Amino acid sequence: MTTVTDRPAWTADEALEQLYAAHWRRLVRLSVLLVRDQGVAEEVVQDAFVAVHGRWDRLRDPERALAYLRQAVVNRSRSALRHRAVVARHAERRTASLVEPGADQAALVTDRRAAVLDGLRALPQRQREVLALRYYLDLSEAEIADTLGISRGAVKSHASRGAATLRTHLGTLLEEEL
Amino acid sequence: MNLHDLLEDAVADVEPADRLAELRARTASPARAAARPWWWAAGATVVGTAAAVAVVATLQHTQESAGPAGHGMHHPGFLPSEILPPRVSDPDAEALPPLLPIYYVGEGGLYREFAHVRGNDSLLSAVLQLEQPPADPDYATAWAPGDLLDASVQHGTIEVETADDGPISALAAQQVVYTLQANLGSRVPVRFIHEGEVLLGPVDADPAVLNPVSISDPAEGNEYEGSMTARGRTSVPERHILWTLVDADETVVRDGTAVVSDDAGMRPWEVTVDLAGLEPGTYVFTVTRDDPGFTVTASTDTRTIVVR
Repeated sequence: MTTVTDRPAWTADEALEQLYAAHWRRLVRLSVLLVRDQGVAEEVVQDAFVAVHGRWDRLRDPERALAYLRQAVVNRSRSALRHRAVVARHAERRTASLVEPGADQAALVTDRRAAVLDGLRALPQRQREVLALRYYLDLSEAEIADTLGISRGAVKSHASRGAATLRTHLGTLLEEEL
Repeated sequence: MNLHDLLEDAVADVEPADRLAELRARTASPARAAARPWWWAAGATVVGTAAAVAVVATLQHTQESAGPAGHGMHHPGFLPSEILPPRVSDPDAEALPPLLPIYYVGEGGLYREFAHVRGNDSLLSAVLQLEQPPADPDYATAWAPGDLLDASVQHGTIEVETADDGPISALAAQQVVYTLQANLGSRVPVRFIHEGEVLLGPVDADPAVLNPVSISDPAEGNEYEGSMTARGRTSVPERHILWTLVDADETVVRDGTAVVSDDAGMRPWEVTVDLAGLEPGTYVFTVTRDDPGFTVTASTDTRTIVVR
């Protein structure tokens, strides 16, 4: 207790490598749930990693860094969505994929995935973010509140409204045993 | 399938490209090779470019005692008043917990930071906060999580319960003394207790351990628009201290002097920095003792701020 706490064990570069190894894929997938477009998601998450590298002196702790990364990914995904290009590109792709609704198992899986992403896309932004953080990252209400900078009460109400709307949208998918 | 499985499945086929090499390239910057290599250089630049630019320095005649005890949350005048809310704030966000003064160990002695700390008991909250790393990477704490168990006023002293009976260094003790006296608003001595036995104390505040120049506001990472009021305290004999604002390219964009009030002991200084016309971005605010010979080391304090 009498020695001054050491500087972080990791340098910013080391932290970047470790955080990348542990969280890159999951965070890109989180962003895909929010923006739908994988290319955009990769850009968003890459920017978040650059930001966390720049702030490592202040974060210094992997848990805090991960919390910061999550927040950066959600905020940057939100900004990316404001770009009409994303929406337009996505609309084109959807039209293309709906031309041939195959009947085999692979096509069913593709349809199911598209339905979930469409359902999320149709939700108000906050509800979509809360659902992604809660059901994909398994965050607690308190962690979601911190990530989004909203109260726990707001998290609760966004979660219940979002889940209800999504359930209605997905209907039978939720009841299927797959 | 439940919602968890459906969301998991919806992105199960997303295999992102490996962008690590690209990330390494984007984050590789010679400027970051060492932490604040320009720390002293910034102070030296002040002496060379003494012309003050767009600065209003004001004298602050705040009524206060010589020690640190009367500061912090008990003196709203010393709290950051013009700080913009954090970027993540939302209309339905909960109010931030109160700001507590916490003393950390830096080069040349103790420095004070203000931290938002949750909890109803300010003494307990303050000792627990002492176990957390400071916001400013130039500082450190002598206490690790779990070292300090409780703090309360008993029989005219502050009693701090420690988790073990190891020796307590003078500086570690002073960190606790200054922090708890500031939060109590009274210069009551501190006793360190382990399992009912007095380990150390009563310990009084030792003014010799305070860094001779310190910044109270801004706190590390504060965001400003238009102007910034900086405040702090100093024990140097000079009637003024020097300050600079340095941008990310290490260029001095503002500098000047802040007048120190002529009380004895730790005396307040205050200066309003005009930020109009500065590019949004990160800047470093530094105050330095006006000591051209640089005979006294560490008479400097720095804060990173963000100009919107």
